[in-house]
Amino acid sequence: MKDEKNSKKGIADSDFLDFLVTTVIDITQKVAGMELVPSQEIPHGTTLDIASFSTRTNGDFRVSLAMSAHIDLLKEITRHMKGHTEVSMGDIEIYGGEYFNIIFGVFLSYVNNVLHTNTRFRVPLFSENLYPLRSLSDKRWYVRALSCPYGMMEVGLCKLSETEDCMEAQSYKIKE
Amino acid sequence: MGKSVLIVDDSIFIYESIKEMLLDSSFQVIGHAKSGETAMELYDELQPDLVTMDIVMPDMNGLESARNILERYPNAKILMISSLAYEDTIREAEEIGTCGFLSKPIERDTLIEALGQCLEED
Repeated sequence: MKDEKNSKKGIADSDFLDFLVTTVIDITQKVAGMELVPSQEIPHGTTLDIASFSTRTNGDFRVSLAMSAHIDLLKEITRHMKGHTEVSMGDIEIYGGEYFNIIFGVFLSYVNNVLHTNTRFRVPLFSENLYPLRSLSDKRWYVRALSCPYGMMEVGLCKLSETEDCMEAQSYKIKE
Repeated sequence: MGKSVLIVDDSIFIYESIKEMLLDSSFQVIGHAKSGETAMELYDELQPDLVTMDIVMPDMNGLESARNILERYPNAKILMISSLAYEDTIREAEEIGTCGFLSKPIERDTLIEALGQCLEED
């Protein structure tokens, strides 16, 4: 993927991904008390082991944003947020969705403050048994991996032009 | 009974968190609206002293919902609580007439202080 610099601010797209990763680590610590560290490996596992959240922005900074993670890791985050009780897939969708919501909100607030833009995002979409990022033939995605003892996570962003669109998460559904 | 609070947020996590944070405080949660649209109905019904309002929600966003409530109830005290805390949004919330803006994730002391400040306005 071509690393285009923002012409006004001299900020590379990869710099935005750096901040997204920093935000994920920081919010995960605050919300779930867990420490994620950058990883060179990619998450392994079947599609049944992984769930995803994704959204797109509306406004001046047009991107698709996505996070795929091992369900065990999302379960642990949800368990912390919910108060250490039993966790169902429904809980992961609800609590994980808010976790994702906070991460992308903080990230876009940073982008808006730096670029003086007004960008918001749609309510995140939860995708069970999907693994959108590594299934992509779309090279416009910037992706980074993070890990902790409960599993791995990938976060990514795909910059969009005025007319183009990155593929929706559902498009990557891997048939079992 | 403490000052009554209506929480407007589509997230059950935020609702539960705020409710727990306000236990043993001078504030009491009396209702939860999961969308901007239902916020007005619940406001009409409950007439809370304070409202906490998210921004990114299905149907109607929190800024529109806050604007609607304040048009009908100019003295309503609405504290915005959102992860989308950037200059334009904060300015828009101020222009609408909300009484404060907190960035998610929130902490108990900050929340109670902000709610108290909202009541001190006027």
